[in-house]
Amino acid sequence: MSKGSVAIATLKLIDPATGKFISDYRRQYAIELSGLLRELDYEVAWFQPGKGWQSLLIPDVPLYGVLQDEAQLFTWPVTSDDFYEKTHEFDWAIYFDFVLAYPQARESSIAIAHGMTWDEPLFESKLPTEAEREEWKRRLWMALRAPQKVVAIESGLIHWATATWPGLFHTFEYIPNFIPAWAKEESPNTEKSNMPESGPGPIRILFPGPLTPEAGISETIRAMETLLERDDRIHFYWVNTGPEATVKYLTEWFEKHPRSCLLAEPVTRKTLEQADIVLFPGKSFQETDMICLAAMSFGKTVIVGQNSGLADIVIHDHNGLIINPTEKTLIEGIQHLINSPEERRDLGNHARAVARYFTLPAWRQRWQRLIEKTFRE
Amino acid sequence: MHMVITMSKGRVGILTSYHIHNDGKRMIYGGAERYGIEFTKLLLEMGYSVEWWQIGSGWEQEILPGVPLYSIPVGEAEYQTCPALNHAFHEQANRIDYAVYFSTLLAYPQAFKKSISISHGIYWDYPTWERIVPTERHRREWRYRWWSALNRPEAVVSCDTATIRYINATWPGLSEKLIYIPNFVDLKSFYPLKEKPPRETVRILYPRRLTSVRGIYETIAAIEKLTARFPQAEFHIVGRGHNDHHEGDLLRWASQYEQVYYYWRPPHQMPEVYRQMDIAIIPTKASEGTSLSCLEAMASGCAVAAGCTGGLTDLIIPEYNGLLLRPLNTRTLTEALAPLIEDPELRQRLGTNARATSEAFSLEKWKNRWRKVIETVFH
Repeated sequence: MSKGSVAIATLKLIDPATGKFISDYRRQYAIELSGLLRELDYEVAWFQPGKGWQSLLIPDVPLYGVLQDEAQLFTWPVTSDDFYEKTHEFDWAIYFDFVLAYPQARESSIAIAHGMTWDEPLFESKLPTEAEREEWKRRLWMALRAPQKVVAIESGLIHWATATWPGLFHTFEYIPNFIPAWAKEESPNTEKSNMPESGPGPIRILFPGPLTPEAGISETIRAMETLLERDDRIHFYWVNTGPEATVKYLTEWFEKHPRSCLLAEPVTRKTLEQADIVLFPGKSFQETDMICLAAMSFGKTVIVGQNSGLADIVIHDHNGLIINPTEKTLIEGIQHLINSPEERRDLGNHARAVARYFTLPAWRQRWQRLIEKTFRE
Repeated sequence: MHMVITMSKGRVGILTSYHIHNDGKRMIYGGAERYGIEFTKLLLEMGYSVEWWQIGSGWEQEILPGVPLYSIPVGEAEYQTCPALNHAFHEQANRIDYAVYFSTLLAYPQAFKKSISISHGIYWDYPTWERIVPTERHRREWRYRWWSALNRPEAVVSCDTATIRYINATWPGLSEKLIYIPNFVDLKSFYPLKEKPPRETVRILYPRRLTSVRGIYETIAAIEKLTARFPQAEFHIVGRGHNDHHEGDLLRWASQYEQVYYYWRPPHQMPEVYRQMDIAIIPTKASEGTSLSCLEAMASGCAVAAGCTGGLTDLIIPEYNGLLLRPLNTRTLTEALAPLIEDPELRQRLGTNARATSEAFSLEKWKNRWRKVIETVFH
């Protein structure tokens, strides 16, 4: 007996041209959420912008590329309206990207806020006038007001939204992310990592990307220049993908610097296992918390940026370091960890202990409670 | 006779709105005041001379021996800014080399070149804030003044990452100035009992002021539900109200229940209160930084259930070293407390991890983090 049907609206999840997921984070989240809903006996279908194609996300869960695609001030009112009209036969809705709940949402619905994407200086150039930003903000407010609940995967958005519109206090549920499945089983699309085995001797520092300025690549490069010169025990590994031009520039840079290696491939369990210190010096919101949780689950010492949701899962000096990412703070943090192996070990042990509370079953339990509360007759 | 002259590294002026009441007589025992005292001690340890300035009728006092507190006869201004106080400070505190603005808005409209401002957390995330800045015009002006104040000092120290995230998402571009230094706990005073004496009761502490923003009404409602269900639960509400009337009401209410106690203690007796407890609730709805009460409860080995708001998310990792409640209401508070009362192992695990976590917030670490900032800015 099905408990009912759930339509899920999303911005791009799969690129129809390549058939690939837009990001590994979105893939993990979408698959696990669909799986949970199926297990709870809901019928599930996903809807994204597209010209009429159809695919399967997991068995019995179709993904329809049928929605109109029209963006306006970083909101998608036409797509949202199209979803509303095309899913009348469904009982409930989930807005995988909460902005799709603007200008209207289904009566019993949940939206998901994956974080703040507007906390970087370039955002002002994307919406260059005060009038545009005000209108965008009004639409954001409407998107947050419309669903019955908004699931925030990190507390930063809750803090910002409740401090911007104090009445939104009861809107949010906080459901932090989970350690991805690939941290337990090797990713099917990746062979063995090219990083050397971990052991005594060199200190292996991993930057698991993404290779974007927001993730702190410039600060990390500058810190590497000093650290590689200063300490020959240090080896740097960068693993992840990024824009072609950035990868080209970085490849040239890495070729000129000994004890540094760039692997433009997805992060794997093996990559993380072989690192001693893992860097997440993001300057604004990044979809990296699952990788960070995976690194923590292996007992790795992490250094994270104070401007990201990673500050929710790291307590400075207890299970990692929180920094305001600059060349100077990265050098200080890395140097400190290299010179204090015992502290590094303690931070890693605490990180592993913390990660135990971010397992997939814990995440499913939190989501299940919310679904059962919201999707009722 | 030889006079010993100690060379000072320079004179630091600290501007606050109120360290003590503006009549110059009544002390305020809040977290910010305790922060102020420890901060002053640190500056003295580092070899600086210190003077404080606040609103008052022109009286002079000492905040610590040898540390004057001067008052300036100005009123409070709109939008929580005090431009007249700021101006008078710049005119009168003319012997100082460096300045500290004890709240970020006090750096409006001007700031000394070598200065630091401190954010104690987001306080504008509660619906009553809309009463203080009631129209869009007011809110716009407040935002302008705050943005202006954030721009002026060389560094802005924030006690939590919530404020940092808010500032970055509101005005991207200010991030370089923002330095995260969470609040502290004195681990020499706050520690768990080595061995808890065997007793049948489970003691639950509410260690906050009796205000709605701190969740007192949800606490009362939750206690009313839980007392009948859990005869072993003992509730201790320990904190002051706004006035005698408020405290009297709570006393009358508590007297109806054998399991409920209401009292308050001066700060130096609080460590012993925490030590005797098993669970602490910090049911804050808004206006919270890295709460000293929460840190003290954690350092004392209590299992903590707290609101998922402000700096509390910097202290508690859900289900590892405490519980974060969102939304915070009577239902979620009751649902969180029930398993904590019933399950001693859960309490033990959360309490042990809370204590271990609190060591990252020791007074010593707080001083070291501040030392680095002070040495960088006041050079």
